[in-house]
Amino acid sequence: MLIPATTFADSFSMNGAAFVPSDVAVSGNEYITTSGTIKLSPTYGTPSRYHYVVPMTQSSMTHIEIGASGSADVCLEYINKANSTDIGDLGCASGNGSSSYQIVTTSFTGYDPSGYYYVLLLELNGSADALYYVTLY
Amino acid sequence: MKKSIIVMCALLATSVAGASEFDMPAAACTPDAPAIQNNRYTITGSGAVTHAGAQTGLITLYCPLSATISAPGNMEITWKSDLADVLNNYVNVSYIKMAKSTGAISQVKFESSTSGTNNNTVQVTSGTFTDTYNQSAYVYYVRVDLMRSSTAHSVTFYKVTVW
Repeated sequence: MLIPATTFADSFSMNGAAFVPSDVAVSGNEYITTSGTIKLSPTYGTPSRYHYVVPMTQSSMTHIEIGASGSADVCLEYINKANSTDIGDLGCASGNGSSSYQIVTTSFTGYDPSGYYYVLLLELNGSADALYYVTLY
Repeated sequence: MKKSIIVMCALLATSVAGASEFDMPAAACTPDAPAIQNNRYTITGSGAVTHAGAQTGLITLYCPLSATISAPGNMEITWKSDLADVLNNYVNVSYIKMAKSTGAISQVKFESSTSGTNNNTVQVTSGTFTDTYNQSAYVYYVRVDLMRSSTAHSVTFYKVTVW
């Protein structure tokens, strides 16, 4: 991972356990949190969703990086400030399905904090899925 | 991932008082799975977290240090407790870093209510630490553990500041 240190002067990072579970994930006991990470419960195997509002402190962002296992999937959703319409995914980083720890980085364009606000959406889909961290820079 | 209807269970708000300081009120931290699923916690009007009603047991909060700040060397916590008991009644706060290369975590700084004044008044305590701050190699967060094993006692966590 060769990233100029200067790019992190304006970055956002969080550990997986800080994601806010959806009401369905809570009521279904779909997940566990351990050592700062979030993992799908071994007894649960369909998509389980979690969110986090991204503080609007970044002037620009072009990459989403995750440390994960399995097929954990993190997307940066952008929402219109004027009418709160969820436009869709600006960028996503997804695990390759391996149960081993992996770092995945995806680039995106179009970040515009003047017109949109942003939410990270995490999906866990299988028993090997875990999210350790996500960084936006 | 297809477009999703987003239900925000809670609006998490981090505040950055300055380029070199990070404040996180307890209510903005994310409770761990057992605390949520067992309805163990409640949030007070001032944004503090404490045990709900007759609930006992461990409440763990995860407070991500999401913003970019200058290299910190201090952690200050605000809390309240009426009993110092390292096993049964405490507020323990750990500043932790997670290595991006492996996902492994290590504790940088630890503070506990059990080493402070436990007279059921609000306490502000702080400590220093030395650590190489590298946001390109680590993700940083604060873990808070609130524990009471008896409804005869109480613990409350208000906020953490790292600078």
